Amino acid sequence: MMEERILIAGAGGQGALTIGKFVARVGMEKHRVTYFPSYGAEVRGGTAHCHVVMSDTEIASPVVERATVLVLMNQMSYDRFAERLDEGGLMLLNSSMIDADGATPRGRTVRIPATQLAGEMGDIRVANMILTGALNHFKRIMDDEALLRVMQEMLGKEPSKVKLFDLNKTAFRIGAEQAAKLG
Amino acid sequence: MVTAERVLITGNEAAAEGAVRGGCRFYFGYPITPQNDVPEYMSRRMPEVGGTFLQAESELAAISLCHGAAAAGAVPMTSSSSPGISLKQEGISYLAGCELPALILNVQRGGPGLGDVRCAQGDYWQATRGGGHGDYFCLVLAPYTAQECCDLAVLGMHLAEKWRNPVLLLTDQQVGQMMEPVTLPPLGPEAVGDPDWALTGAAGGRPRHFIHSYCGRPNELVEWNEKLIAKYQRMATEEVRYEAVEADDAELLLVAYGTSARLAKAAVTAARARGHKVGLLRPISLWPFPSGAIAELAGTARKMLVVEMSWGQMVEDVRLAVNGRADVELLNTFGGAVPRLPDIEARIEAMLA
Repeated sequence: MMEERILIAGAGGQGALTIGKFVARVGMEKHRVTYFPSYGAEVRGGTAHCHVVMSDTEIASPVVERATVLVLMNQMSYDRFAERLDEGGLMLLNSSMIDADGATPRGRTVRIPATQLAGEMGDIRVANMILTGALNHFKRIMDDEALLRVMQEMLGKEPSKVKLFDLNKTAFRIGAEQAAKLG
Repeated sequence: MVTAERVLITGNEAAAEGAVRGGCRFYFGYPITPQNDVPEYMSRRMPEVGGTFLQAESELAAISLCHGAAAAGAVPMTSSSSPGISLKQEGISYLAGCELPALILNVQRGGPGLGDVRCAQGDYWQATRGGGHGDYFCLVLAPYTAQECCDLAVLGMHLAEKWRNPVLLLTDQQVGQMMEPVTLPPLGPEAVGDPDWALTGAAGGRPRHFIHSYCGRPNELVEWNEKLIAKYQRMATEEVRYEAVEADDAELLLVAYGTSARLAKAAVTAARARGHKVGLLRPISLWPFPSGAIAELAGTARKMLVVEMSWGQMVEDVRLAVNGRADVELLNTFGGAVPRLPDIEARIEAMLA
């Protein structure tokens, strides 16, 4: 039985919620999914986070208390959410913005310098897609055809969006390649 | 994101789109968390279907706009969240008193007062006991998935028009803000009230219609109430809806709606896997309440467990239905907290021990 409980967190504007929506949108083609964003008493400069549950059986709660996958994009997210990793889980860290080595006895920690890699591509905003590529390398929750189609759908198909699509596609590939180097 | 017919949307958006597909062409709203994506969605969507979106200056204005639109033969929608729904109660009583249709969405948040913006089910009594002044009932539908938010909004539009009565769609913060895949039904034509009673400017020189709730003549209000009561009695027998999960042979029956029902259902599945005869009765209509179904199950189920996010409101309806023939316990959270699955499972084990 397949079940992934994914928590994604970053600073507002880093694209954490976009990762969640993207993963849920691709995942829904094969599995049951829920996507639950954080709202409420969030403050400017604080963390934005969302929960994605993907399962082959009915999903009771959309809230991720123990995560099989954590994607953490900045130090504050790490400090707040690292302890939510479940036994045997995967913690993906944006090492460009998190100092801790993240080592945990509970599961595997993978450090990807996503913001730095995105900067080298010319746009730090695609750090989120680099992490998504890495996530998919380890978890294979999305197939290539569907993820490209959904990426294009979410970004828009207008000619003006072609460059943006290519950029995100490349970021996704770079993330997957980085992850592959780590095994 | 409404391009394909199967879309990933929030429960709030699903309710809004369901209303549109059920024929709603007039939406009047006012902002409050956690239902803000409803007016946001409708502000884009209504012009696409030739409808009217209007952000009112207050909750009272929004429900009064519904009153005006409904009197003129529309089946309008408004939405809000707990404190905002309290503000609409005067208008809801007038809609009921005037026999006017409207779909009203309440995405419940914590209370009393301003409370907070997190998940709660503390408006059960308000929803199922009329809510405003005078003797009346709203039909109350309680979805527990985004898909059901859509489906019950379609149904709610139909029932509002059929009964000339306000219909409440009662959800909660989690059901409203969570995204799930939703298969959308086809777009239906605009819902319209019967020209036999709607105000049309006496089109065609017909006798004038008079829509009012004030009854000043001797005995007029008694007769008017008798007519309304007869309608509510028919609604109470014809519009009961519920889902029964593994309920027939259940020795312990859980009763829950909305977010609580998602967790209760998972607890039932887990208990069955451990070999326990546990079931779930999930009321879909909170008014009329599925008292008959619960009373029938009380023969086999000697124990019942109500799971809800309030101090204990629906549990009273379960106790009334059971009338002493089963022990009814309550597992509840309040103040914005959601029940935890391990806690429900532990209570099931304790009740069966």
